[in-house]
Amino acid sequence: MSATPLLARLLRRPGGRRGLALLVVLAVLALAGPPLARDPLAQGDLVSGALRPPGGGHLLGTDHVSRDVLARTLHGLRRSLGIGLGATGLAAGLGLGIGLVAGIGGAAGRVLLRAGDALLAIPRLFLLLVVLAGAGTLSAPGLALAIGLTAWPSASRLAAAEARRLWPQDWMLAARALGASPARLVLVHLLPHAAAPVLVAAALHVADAVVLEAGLSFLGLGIAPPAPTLGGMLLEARPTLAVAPWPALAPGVALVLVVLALGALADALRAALDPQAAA
Amino acid sequence: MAAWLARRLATAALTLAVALTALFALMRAAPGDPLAQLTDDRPLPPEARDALRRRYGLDQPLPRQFLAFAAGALRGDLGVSIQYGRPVRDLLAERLGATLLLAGTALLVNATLGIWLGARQAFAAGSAIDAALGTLATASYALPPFVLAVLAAGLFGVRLGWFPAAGARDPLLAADTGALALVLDRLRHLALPALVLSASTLGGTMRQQRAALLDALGRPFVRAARARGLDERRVRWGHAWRASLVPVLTHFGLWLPALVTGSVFVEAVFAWPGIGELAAAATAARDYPLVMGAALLAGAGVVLGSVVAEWAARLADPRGADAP
Amino acid sequence: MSALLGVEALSVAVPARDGEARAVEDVSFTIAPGEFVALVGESGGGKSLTALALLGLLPPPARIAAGHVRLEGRDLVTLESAALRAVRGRRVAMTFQEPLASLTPVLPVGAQVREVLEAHRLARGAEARARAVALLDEVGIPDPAQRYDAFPHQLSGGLRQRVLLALALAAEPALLVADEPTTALDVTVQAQVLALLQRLRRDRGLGVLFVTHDLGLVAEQADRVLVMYAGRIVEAGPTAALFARPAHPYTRALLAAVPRLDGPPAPPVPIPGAVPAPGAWPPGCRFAPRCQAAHDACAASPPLRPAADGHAAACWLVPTT
Repeated sequence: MSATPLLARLLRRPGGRRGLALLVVLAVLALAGPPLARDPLAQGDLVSGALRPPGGGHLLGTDHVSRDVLARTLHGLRRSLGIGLGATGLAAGLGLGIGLVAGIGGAAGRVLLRAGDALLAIPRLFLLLVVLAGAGTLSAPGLALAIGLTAWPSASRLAAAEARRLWPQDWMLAARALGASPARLVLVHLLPHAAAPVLVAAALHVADAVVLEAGLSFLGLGIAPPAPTLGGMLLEARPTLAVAPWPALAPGVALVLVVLALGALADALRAALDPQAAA
Repeated sequence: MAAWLARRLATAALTLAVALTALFALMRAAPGDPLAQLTDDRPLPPEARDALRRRYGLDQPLPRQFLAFAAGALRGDLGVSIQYGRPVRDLLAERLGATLLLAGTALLVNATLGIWLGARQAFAAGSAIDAALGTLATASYALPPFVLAVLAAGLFGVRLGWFPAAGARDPLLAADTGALALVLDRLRHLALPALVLSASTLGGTMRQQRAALLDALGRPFVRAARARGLDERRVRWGHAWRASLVPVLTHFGLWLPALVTGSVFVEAVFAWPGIGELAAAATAARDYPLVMGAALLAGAGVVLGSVVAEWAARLADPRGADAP
Repeated sequence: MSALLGVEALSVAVPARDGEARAVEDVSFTIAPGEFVALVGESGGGKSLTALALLGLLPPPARIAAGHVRLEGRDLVTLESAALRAVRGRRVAMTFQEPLASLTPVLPVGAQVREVLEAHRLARGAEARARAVALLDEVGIPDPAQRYDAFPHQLSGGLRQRVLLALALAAEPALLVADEPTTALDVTVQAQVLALLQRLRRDRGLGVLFVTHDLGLVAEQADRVLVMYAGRIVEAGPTAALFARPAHPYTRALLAAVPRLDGPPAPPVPIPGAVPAPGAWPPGCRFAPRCQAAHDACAASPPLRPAADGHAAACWLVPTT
């Protein structure tokens, strides 16, 4: 399963096209936006420059302390997507490793899998609250690490299920009988299959992690102000929402777009990876 | 069925025990000093510091600390809140009712309106109604609960003033207010938080019900029921929908963490005095015994809730109930 | 004798690559009260679609494109849905292949039988329950009072087929359409179900349209046989005559494909190829590409013409009488 046909299959589906296009736009905004935008921390005149409606020098207006909403949204989006991708990469990697080892009968993997199941019982937000209660604020990489470390159990479950299903099958037995080493078996034969459901889950998880990070900063936890975060912007915009909705709408819309793009992508991925649905 | 329930509850207890261990490990793995908040990050005289550490058991070796924590949790003793200086158990108990009221209302709305809307979609699959409700479901899924909560609080609470946007009761209500007025006041305060929590979870239930019912409607027994001359309503609800119930009930079990997570944000926005609001505030205050207690309670709620959901799914599906 | 069922020039349209194709075309036959008629042919030949069309149960977008289905004088094709519903189960009933899939898995079988009685307002409450138990008993289910509360998955394949029959007969229909009722069963159970069908037909005067791909089964059961190929009836006639002197090459091929217990041992001869999909049918005689006797005349479509012994065949080689 090489990357090119998968991409081609994704592009054949309207949902896949929409999701990818939206994602590319968001990625370009997140990557190229911040250097081009204004300084997200710079404040203008606190009296005349605060809560200016969109237009003029500030495309999306200014917030309650006269900072540029567009710049803050772009910076927040970049940080959110970075955390989402980092956390998901970590979770998918850990999950695949643990799941595959557990799926082919490794004792350590099985123990970790059971522990992961138990961890799944506690809503992840509460796990992160426990970490944050201990740590206070976290840097962006720290937050990505924390989110990733609490997310691997669902990936490992999927990978283990796939490994358990494939390990006893004939072609796998044949490869084993031919003397392929366990490492080779796992890497060459199991990984490509187990990676498919994990990939779908990963697309959804990036959105999940972005929302989780925004939620934490919305609760005033996570990354410390004044660094711009989507959740933090929403929190700060709340008191003036009735008179000036734009500082709240910009991060809100950004979050919705991230979730929509990744949701469409995950749906298209699921369909494209399904061997039954040869479309 | 009784044997199954006993076995399932034993697994649930084991799961919670492992979760407890994991929580403790997570807490201790997190960087930072648990006493930092208590001491306001100021350097303390060594003897005062030691006294504090003794008081919270931090002078003991880690395994012993864990045993003390686990033994306490088993007895229902979750330690003392740093912030309030009161037992965590009491603080949680005071807040549990409000959370159950809020989450229970959302669950009820999902189990009625969500199922009904999803079923309407499936019965009219491909129609304009299906498409419109599908868009609604996607919106519900794509809007994070805190975004929806902020918008609803701003619009319905502040701008239009239809419902109170904060708290669970009117603090100015006279002490001798009648029972009916108290209930009405509580319902008025419940309206917005429950609306937001329901709206942000409804999409998932609708999608699940739609997919399960579409699958059931395509099965041969539906055509067979029509061949017997049963009326369409009976075929749809009595046969197809009834058979689609199992995946929907299973979904409710898997969906509980999302409900709990959503209620944290909704409680925080609307100052609803529940466990979630307490836990969020306690995290900001770095009151880790209280946060641990809340996490454990959330875990217990999810685990017990999923046992109930599985049990209901087995009741709904005679095939599952016959399996070991 | 006036016909119980009269199918006239029935055509069923199904979606095909370019628009619609007639998966069933110009099919006509009758069934008299108490008559047992078999509709045979390979799968994909349009038998099940014909059966479903009789009850107005075609899965959309398949639809009746032309023709009439007259049951006791009323044309079911033009009946509006409420009236059609009152006929289904009550005047014409149907059983399906795969009994397990055709029973609602989450309802006890007794309740499903009782529901039919109540839907057609034949009985209510305790009386409906008692009649449902009696029906389970009539179709030969042992311990019917206990089995009333059983779920479909708890019954054996033979019992499930009997439950399907009880459901079909609950409202005392005049015609039973049985789609492959014995395919999923092993041979002894098959024989029991067939014996049951014959008894019901005798006791109740039930007309039966028996849809099957198994010509061997039909020999001892049916009064008349309709052979269907690629959406058309290619041969029709009394069972004995049709088996003794099959006129159409397709019927002969079907018979040759049946393992025989009487006569000299000969290996069954499978028919090469398969029924083409609707829309991919050749012009002229549809069986010609698979027919060993095909010749130039087969480029034109042969009509169903009377042949010897009171049967009819659609083949240019059959001498007309």
